[in-house]
Amino acid sequence: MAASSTAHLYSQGEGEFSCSNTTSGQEWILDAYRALEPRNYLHEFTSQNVRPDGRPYSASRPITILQSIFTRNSYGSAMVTLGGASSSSSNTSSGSTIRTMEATRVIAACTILVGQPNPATPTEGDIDVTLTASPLSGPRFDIMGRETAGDSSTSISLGNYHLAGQQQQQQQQPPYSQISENLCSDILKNSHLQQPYQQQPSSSPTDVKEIESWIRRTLRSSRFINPTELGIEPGVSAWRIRVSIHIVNHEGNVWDASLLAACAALSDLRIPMVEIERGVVRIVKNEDGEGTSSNDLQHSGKKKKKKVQRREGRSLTLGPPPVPLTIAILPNSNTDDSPSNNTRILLVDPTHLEEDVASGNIVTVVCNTKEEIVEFHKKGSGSRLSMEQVAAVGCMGFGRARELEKFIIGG
Amino acid sequence: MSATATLTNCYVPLPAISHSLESTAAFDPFSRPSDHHNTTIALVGQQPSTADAASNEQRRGPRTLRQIHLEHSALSQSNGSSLVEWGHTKLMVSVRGPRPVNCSSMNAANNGGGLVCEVRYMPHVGIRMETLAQHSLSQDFSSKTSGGARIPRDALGTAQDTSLLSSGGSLCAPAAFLDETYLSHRLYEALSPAVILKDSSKMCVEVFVEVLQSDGGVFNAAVLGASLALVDAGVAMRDVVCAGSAAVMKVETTLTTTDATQVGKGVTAKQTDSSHHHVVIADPTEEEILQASGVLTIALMPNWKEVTVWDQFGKMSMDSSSEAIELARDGCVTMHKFLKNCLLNGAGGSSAR
Repeated sequence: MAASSTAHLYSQGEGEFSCSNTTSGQEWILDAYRALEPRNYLHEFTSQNVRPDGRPYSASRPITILQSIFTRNSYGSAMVTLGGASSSSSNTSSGSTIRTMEATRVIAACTILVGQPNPATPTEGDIDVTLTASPLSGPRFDIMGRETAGDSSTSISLGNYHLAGQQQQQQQQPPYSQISENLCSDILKNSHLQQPYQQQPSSSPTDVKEIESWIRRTLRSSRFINPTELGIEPGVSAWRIRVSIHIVNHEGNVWDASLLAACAALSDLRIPMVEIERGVVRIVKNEDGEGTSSNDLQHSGKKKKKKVQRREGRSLTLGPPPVPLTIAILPNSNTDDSPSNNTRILLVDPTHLEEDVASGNIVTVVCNTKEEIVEFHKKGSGSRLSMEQVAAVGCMGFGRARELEKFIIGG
Repeated sequence: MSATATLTNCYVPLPAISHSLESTAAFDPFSRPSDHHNTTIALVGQQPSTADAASNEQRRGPRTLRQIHLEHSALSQSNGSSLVEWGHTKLMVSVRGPRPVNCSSMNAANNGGGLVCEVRYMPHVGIRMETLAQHSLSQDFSSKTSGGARIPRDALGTAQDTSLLSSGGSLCAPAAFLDETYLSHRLYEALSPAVILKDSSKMCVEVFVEVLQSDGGVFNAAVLGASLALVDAGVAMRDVVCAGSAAVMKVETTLTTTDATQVGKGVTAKQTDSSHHHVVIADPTEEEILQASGVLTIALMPNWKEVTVWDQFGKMSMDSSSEAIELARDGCVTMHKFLKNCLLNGAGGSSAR
């Protein structure tokens, strides 16, 4: 009986939200519009120079990096959140739980292995990356973590429309709320569905393996971690750092979030103290501090005939971290598609909806704080960028690298 | 990947032997290591209640549960979701609400509806690698012959099916590493009496549990998180389901001082028979489970006072068995309190009893 009363109270609590919002009865229309006609939906906002979540084009979501979240099973871990919590923390109403919606969240953790180094590089260790997704990540992910193409429009999540209404109510920008309200009434008058796009390009699903190999290449090529740092005994043993990344919640731009999480987890990584006995590496747990280690030292002193060698635990010496910036290229549908008229919209840090509409036309630039571009990728065939735009993207990448370096390194 | 890999014959480094012997020797049920320095994944930005956590002493007694942090609506892409941090055991649950069977993504094989439960460990991190290596089945790779213990290839992959592992010396190792298939089935059995599905042939509810880090009590946390996420998704339920576990530990009881004197007198032979008795502890961690002689786990609906899952590994006497049941049941009731608190106030909690 108590359970039914709790359920009752809970639903009352939600009722308050929906009552406080005047347009809440119509939110499902917006949701359906967004799910069925994502291009038109986005165009309603971009035609007035704003994005559906109220950001200007060149603004990224706030980034939260939390390190050392898993202290038991891994030697370094981090969680990266794009959007969500920190932007809403200024509001101090009771329903704060609900406003962490719409945040991309990625968790990375490092486990360590010992292996035999390649004879060509006897002093070098290795970094391996595993990126996984699960049904946790989003409604389109199946049990194996693959994302199906977005044409199955049956998976509209209509369950949370009251939450979306709550979110929109808190947007402070008047033009934005006007847009959404006008949009709502316009759809009711059915004025927008007159010119649907003829061919809906299928949204490209997130390819987890592609991101995984990209992160692996970037970490190896950027010299964020010097591989000779990971050697234990030249030619005999070296560390293999295995960075396991998991997409917890996919709200767009998992490229950036995953690489940032990997870097933050690596900077959190602490190689444990080991003792080496005839080429076999064993970990010395010195969680209790000095007492245990001195005990162990006596212990190893006793059995002198076995050759036991010790290596102190340490953090890695880090190079400048590779900081990614992903920008979605949106074809501007206002103008005709003439090659001279180059009015592409560049959306920094795209959400899932914006990525879907951009259908794979994405620029990713990886910069570091030494004013170097580590990588520059432009993907997708349906977009052309001018030299000025490429330069602008590079500048934004440098700015982002300066902005985020201390978060990755310092925690 | 193999082309660029610079390392071969990788293995998981094990803890040094001397230390592991020391740790198994001394177990005191009245001062179990506690983990209050534990950092939570504060998804919301609301501060977990650290004030009372700091006031607790660093050791917990035999009847104390670990610190718990609950949160619901943690994911935007699911109809209902929750985050459970139960000591070092951390997991997230996602529920995809009642929806038509044909757009289900998880039970593509069997076309029936109803409740679908899946539990997965996060690759490489979900189960601690060293403990897995210590209990691996490959005896020829054991630590004595070749030095570094190796984990079978299957366990290194993403699918962590621990049923391949032998119980490596410990009686209760299967209770410590419940594999994904077993956990999924048990979770289904625990939840299905509570979930009301009107037309189960056409509608389905999918519960997906991602174990981010395991430290014993994975099943308890999964049941708790699944209940929370189901309520969050608005699925009709008869009651929430809570789970608790208790372990029976064999403890050396002889006081060391009297023992020493009796050793001097030479009457040790009689002592060894009754030198240990059984102590029941609530909410065992992974290391405690590995040392235990028996582990009992129950899941129950607190308001109906009905048990949905009853699991026992290892052996325990009748007395300690009934004591363990009581303790596990008390744990369930306490969990129900926190679950209710989380649902009504949207806040987490920290537990001490």
